[in-house]
Amino acid sequence: MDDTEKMLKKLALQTMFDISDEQMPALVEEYHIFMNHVKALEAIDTSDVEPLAFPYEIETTFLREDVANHVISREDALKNAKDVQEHQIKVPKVVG
Amino acid sequence: MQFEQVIGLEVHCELKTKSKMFSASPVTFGEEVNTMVNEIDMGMTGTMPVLNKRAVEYAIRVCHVLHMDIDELLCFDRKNYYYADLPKGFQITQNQRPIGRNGYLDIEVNEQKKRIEIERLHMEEDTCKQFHLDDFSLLDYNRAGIPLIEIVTKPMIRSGKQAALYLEKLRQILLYTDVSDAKMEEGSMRCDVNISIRPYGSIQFGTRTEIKNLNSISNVRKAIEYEALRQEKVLIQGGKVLQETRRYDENLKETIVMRAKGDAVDYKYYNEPNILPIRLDHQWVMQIKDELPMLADERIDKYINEYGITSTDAHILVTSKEISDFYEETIHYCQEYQLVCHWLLGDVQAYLNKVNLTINETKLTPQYLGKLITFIQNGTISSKQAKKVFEEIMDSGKDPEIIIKEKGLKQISDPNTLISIINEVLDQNSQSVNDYKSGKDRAVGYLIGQIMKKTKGQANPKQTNQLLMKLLKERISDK
Repeated sequence: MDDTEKMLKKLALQTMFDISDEQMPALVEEYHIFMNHVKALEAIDTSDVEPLAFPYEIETTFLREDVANHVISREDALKNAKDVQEHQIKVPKVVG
Repeated sequence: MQFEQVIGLEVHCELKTKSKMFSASPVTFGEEVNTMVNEIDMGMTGTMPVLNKRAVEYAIRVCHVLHMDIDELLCFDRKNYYYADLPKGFQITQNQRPIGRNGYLDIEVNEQKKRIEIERLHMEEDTCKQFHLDDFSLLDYNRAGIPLIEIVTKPMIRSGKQAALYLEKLRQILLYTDVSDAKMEEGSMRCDVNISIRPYGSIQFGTRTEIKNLNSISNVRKAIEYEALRQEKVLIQGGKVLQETRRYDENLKETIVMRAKGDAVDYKYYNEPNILPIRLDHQWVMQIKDELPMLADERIDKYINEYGITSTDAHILVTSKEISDFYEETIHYCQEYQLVCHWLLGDVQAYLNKVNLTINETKLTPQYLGKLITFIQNGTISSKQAKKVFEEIMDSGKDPEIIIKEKGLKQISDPNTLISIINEVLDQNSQSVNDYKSGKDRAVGYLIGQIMKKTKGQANPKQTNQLLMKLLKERISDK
């Protein structure tokens, strides 16, 4: 396993993705393509440029009044869950 | 070697708004699981967070009380981490620009003022609740999205006792500004401790540990005392304190390693793209300061200086905001400031202790208590009768006026009525009058007993006693 593979394995673990050995070559290839893009971007001088978080640099003033008027049904809330027990989403135990 | 403790505290506090920080689902505690949520709380795609005005107002209240600089441009950030308690995969928080900076809170340590500087106060959203079972966990999202404020001190607390004093004072502020229940046992107020030790005189910081999962102020104190001693032992034995996160085990009374620093996550903070910066109206921010509710210390001053309550009683009155609020309402109905205070701290408190309820959970209202005390003051009922009426209020929730009427408890205070009753009794008990004449004082007690029997206990005791002595003396000198 070369350094790129090792790094990708580690990142996969940290972000909780399971990557098989068969998937690895494709990922490595994509990684190199991506890094070439990054290199192209890095060539641009951004030393005098402030970070931009929003497309428009505007300020808003709106705040929502504190009214509790919207809930969804428990069935809808849990519809996307893979595993439900006692009306709660069931996940592997990871005490952090 | 003597060591000094260096402690900083991070307090999370749930705000008691009606709806969540960024969504219009209700803020609740102890409801059926996953019934108090909507699409935003569940992190469903396509939803947009909209900031709760009341939550901002509450955060500003606390900022004002803690003398903080308020940033009137609200900016939010994403804190990214992978854990099941986060439905979106990130938490919306304020990392770069907290709403409050550079505040302080004064505490009193051994009768000396100590200023605890507060570095920051920021707003964020609560996570979902996890129930860890044997080999899996269950998630309830009702808590997800509840507004939180986090208040972080500078590392200038020097002992477990100081930490406890700071937390008690802070809790009082959260309660009296009416922004939170601040119940540590229910998790609406939570505290994490950062602690290191260093030799006295040293200006360098030692390696610190973080203690989590502390569910009471007394446990915070115990955890700090244990952890300081543990670090001291490590250093004395020539070891190194490791940077790690620990938790306090209540049963073992020890701190236990949860994770080492090596596993620490990089949160990859960046601006929350779904919330544009929000400019607060400066006048509104100042108006919140003008309209701050009266704090405990101010109430104590008022009780002592305006109402003539003793300092001790005033301090006891404010230890519970519920009792203090009840007091303030009762004195609208009855301006007997001291008597109201004595009833609340005496009979009422004794009753609450006996039935293990808080005052708002009982049938007593400020109006009833005010009426009851007025009836004692104007002589309608005796203090002894008042105790009976009080018991009846607590049982039935009836108006004291009705109880007095129904039970025929009215006191007889009219002197003419009393004189004629006393004379009747004296006429019927000439032997006792003779006994009194020959110096047997206990005859008086017997005569009082007879008067009370005749009036079914309704004769005003003080007046009866005075009039009886007067009439007895008249009869003796007549003879």
